[in-house]
Amino acid sequence: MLTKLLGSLLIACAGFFISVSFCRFESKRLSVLDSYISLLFYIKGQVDCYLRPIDEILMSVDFDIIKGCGCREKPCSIFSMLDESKIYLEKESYRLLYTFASEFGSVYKDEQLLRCDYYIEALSEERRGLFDEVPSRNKVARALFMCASFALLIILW
Amino acid sequence: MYITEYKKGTIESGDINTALFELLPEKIIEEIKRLPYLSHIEEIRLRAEKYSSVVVNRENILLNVRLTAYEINEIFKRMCGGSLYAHSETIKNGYITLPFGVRVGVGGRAVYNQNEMVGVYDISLLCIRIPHKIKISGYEICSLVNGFNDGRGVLIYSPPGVGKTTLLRNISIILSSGEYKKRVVIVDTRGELSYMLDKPYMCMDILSGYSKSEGIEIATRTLDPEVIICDEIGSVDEANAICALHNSGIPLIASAHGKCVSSLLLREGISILDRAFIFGAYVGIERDGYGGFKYDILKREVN
Repeated sequence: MLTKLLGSLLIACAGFFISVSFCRFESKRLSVLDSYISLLFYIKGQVDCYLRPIDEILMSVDFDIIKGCGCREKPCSIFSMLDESKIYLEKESYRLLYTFASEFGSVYKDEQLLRCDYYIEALSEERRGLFDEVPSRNKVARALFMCASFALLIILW
Repeated sequence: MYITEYKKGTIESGDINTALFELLPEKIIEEIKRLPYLSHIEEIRLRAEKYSSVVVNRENILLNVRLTAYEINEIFKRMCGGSLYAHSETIKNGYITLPFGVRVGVGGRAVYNQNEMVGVYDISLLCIRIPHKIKISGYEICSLVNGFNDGRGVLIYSPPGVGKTTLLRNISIILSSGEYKKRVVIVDTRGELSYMLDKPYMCMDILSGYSKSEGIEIATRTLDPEVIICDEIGSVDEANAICALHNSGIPLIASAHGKCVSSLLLREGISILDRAFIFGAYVGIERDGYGGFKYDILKREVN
């Protein structure tokens, strides 16, 4: 009986922690996207004011932004950043950032700034969508994992 | 005696060429390495859909390699470090400067908007100038400048590719270190002149990326130099800026493209400088065949 109770408690706890982790992961997605938007603003500023090449920009960017993007060390390119933080990005956000990285540096200054503006706007739109979705996703996740753990409890009891 | 930095400028070894070769496709490197006079290559010219060539002792040698427009564009992108916008202004002026001080001439399809060049697209020509071995020379010019007590300078002239920039580098080294130890300011518009000159033992300040007129003005007003050095002058704007600052009595050592003094003076900018007695001497240079220069010095007397 005691073992059964202990097992039930463990299953309930597991369900709870999985749902908490999922909620944190969703929040992290939002903060990663925020960091990428900050990075794009920074890149735009550096292009506009100093015409710095991308490798110098990435070396000079605040490490908190890099960490916020889900990277552990200063990256050598935006692609390597995307590789590291792919897990946190929505499919559309990833696609936008990947296209931004692919196109980056192939045009002159004015056009480059316009493209930065476009991608900042598009990612901000994505961010707004994600921000609206996160609470409902969290609710669903909490309900789903808790129910799943209770269901498992009932089956195993 | 050779300057160490320029020894590296040979095609067989050294930092410049290692870095340069990383930018070029394998087939070009193989062809170049096959040439018997590898260390004498002055230029590599890459053309879209045409045979590439190299220049050796001012002679053109075709390589058995044809690059596609796509390949040329890829090389160009690599040379720009994946950041074309960072080179916008220099590309409009027909060149880019690589991080290791090598200048690459760029040609393609220029696009204008209301008489102003917007950019160069469809790049079809890249002309890479390889720094070459040069004996330490320029002492004659330094003593010439030192001999002028009225603040006049020297104009070095020659056709393109003879070594004006290299000679200016040598002069900068001599004047800013050793027996002269003068406060030298280099106005390096193209980022080419000052390459590898930023040594701790030199009494030298470098204004990199400044336009010549602005650089000379800033140097005179704020840096209190004893000599100003800049490369390739000739426009009327530059001449007017130099004339306006001539009262300061700081000698200017500059270079210009030209075959002889009379052809130089046909250019309006140089003519303005000549009438203002900015230069105490015009020095024509040509290679002496032993890694140094022959000088043709014409002193300008003040009437």
